[in-house]
Amino acid sequence: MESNKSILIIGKPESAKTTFLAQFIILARKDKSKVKFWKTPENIQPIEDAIKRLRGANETQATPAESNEVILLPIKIAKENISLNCPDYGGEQINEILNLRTFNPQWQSLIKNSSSWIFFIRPKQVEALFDLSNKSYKANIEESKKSTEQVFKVSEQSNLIELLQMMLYVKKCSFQKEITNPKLTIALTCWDEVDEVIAPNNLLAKLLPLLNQFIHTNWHKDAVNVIGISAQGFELKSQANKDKYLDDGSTKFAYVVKNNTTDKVYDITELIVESL
Amino acid sequence: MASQKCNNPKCTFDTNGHCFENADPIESCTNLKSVATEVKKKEKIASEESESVLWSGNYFNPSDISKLSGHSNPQIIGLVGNAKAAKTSYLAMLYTLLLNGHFLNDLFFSNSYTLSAWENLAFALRFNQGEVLFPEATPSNPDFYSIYHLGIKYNNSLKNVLFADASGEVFGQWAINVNDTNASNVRWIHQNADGFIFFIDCEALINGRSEAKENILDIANRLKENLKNRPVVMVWSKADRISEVRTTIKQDLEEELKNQFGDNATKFEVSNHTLNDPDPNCHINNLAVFEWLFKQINVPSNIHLELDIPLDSNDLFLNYRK
Repeated sequence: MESNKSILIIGKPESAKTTFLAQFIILARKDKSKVKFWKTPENIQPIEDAIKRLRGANETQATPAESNEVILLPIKIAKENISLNCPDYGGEQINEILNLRTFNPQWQSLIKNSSSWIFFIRPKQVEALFDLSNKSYKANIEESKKSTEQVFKVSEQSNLIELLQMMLYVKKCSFQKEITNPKLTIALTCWDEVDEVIAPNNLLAKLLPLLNQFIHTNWHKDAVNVIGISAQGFELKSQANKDKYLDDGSTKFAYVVKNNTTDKVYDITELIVESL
Repeated sequence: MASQKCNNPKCTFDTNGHCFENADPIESCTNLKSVATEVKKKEKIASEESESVLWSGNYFNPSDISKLSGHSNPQIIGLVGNAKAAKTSYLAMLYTLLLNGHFLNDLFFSNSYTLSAWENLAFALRFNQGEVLFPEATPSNPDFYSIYHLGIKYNNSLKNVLFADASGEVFGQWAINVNDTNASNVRWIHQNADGFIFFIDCEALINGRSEAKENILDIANRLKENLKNRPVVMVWSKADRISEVRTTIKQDLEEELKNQFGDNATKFEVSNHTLNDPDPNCHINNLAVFEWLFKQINVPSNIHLELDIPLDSNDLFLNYRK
């Protein structure tokens, strides 16, 4: 029997959703992790190429942002059947939602019926902004002179806060009291690109401080989680790294780092387990 | 109900129930049936329509405030001051500081329905090839309102704060003539704000000396009218240059403003130019201005209403006690 739990995976283009989903499907097909499929997914065609590439020790290719594929995975954790949904595999719909400020019926339904949201954010994609408040005035002028002319665009933090506000509106959640449903997990992806030893919750606070405060102000503390995840483990450019994949399989090196820790846990299905 | 409508323009069924085709029973009329089907289709399409959120992200005007009324009574902070006194830049810096993780002590950011507007302000404080453009002058059109929203959690309670900004030129006109036809937006701010940030432009005082001081006092005099017990925070803006303001002018102005606002007011020096990192005028005082005013507006009431009703009253309503 299908439970009423439903997880939404959301992320902008190139936030590493494809690699995670490919590795996740490989693991869920086996009987070795906590997560399994309770029935075969109807269509994983969009991920199939990524799965093949990882098996051959090649990095996955960027999904066309305009891809409107919806990935629906019927998974089972312990004895509970759960629906794991990635409604915007390409990621472009998120930009469209932010521009048009509307959700189509499919999005509305997925948001209303979901009990857990996982937001994929790739720290390396977060752009550093130089403004009057950052550092001393003169140092910023010199750094800024080197850059090209900036055109107005909304900051990443503001976009993510707005998207969450809009989704909460559709789900009819109020800011008046602490949110417990849906649970919120921030997945900081490509963790192997993070070049400092830091716990994921601290990196979120450092990198996207206003988003972090928005989350902690509005959600109940037990309903928020921040997880670092490296679905690939390392870059696959060198032959030595490719050999590791070819010798031991693609999933062995993928890991998560939980909320306030710095230790690697070599099972990326933990992201889903932790999000519930 | 869908079944009670007819799509035949000659038929009066909708108004008096008579079928143009004299169908008997009425349900057998093809026009009636076709309308019913069409309505159902429309209902289905409507249910499949996209859902839009209520806010655009842009700044509010007064009619937008009703969007918040379902949440809680919004608190309006009016920004008051002469042209170029850095009122809009203050808001730009306030949001920029929050965006960069310089937070208020026990006031927590919960949400904002004007994020695009805040972002526009913040963009104006970013370095663009070595230069900062600062926000453009606020339009002086009397119908122009730019109201910025912040949802703030304080003591586990959500407060909707609205910062109402208007053109400095209009404040100047309003100071001279309170009924100036071009000052309706400023009158609205003065009437509706729960507290005020009053800007004193150090740069104007350096360049314009006594003349600039009198211009500032003109607006202060007008603000004082019907102020009642609404709090005012006096902000000495561009305070990285405050040492250049002549001592006598500064002392005179401080004294006269104290006479105007008395115990309702306090003062802070703020600057958008960071001389150090951290810089108290920028990183601390910009936030402290809002925090002080917010807490003045939200000061807990210590008044305990006790009705002097004898406990043996026969009135059940008045005898009700917690």
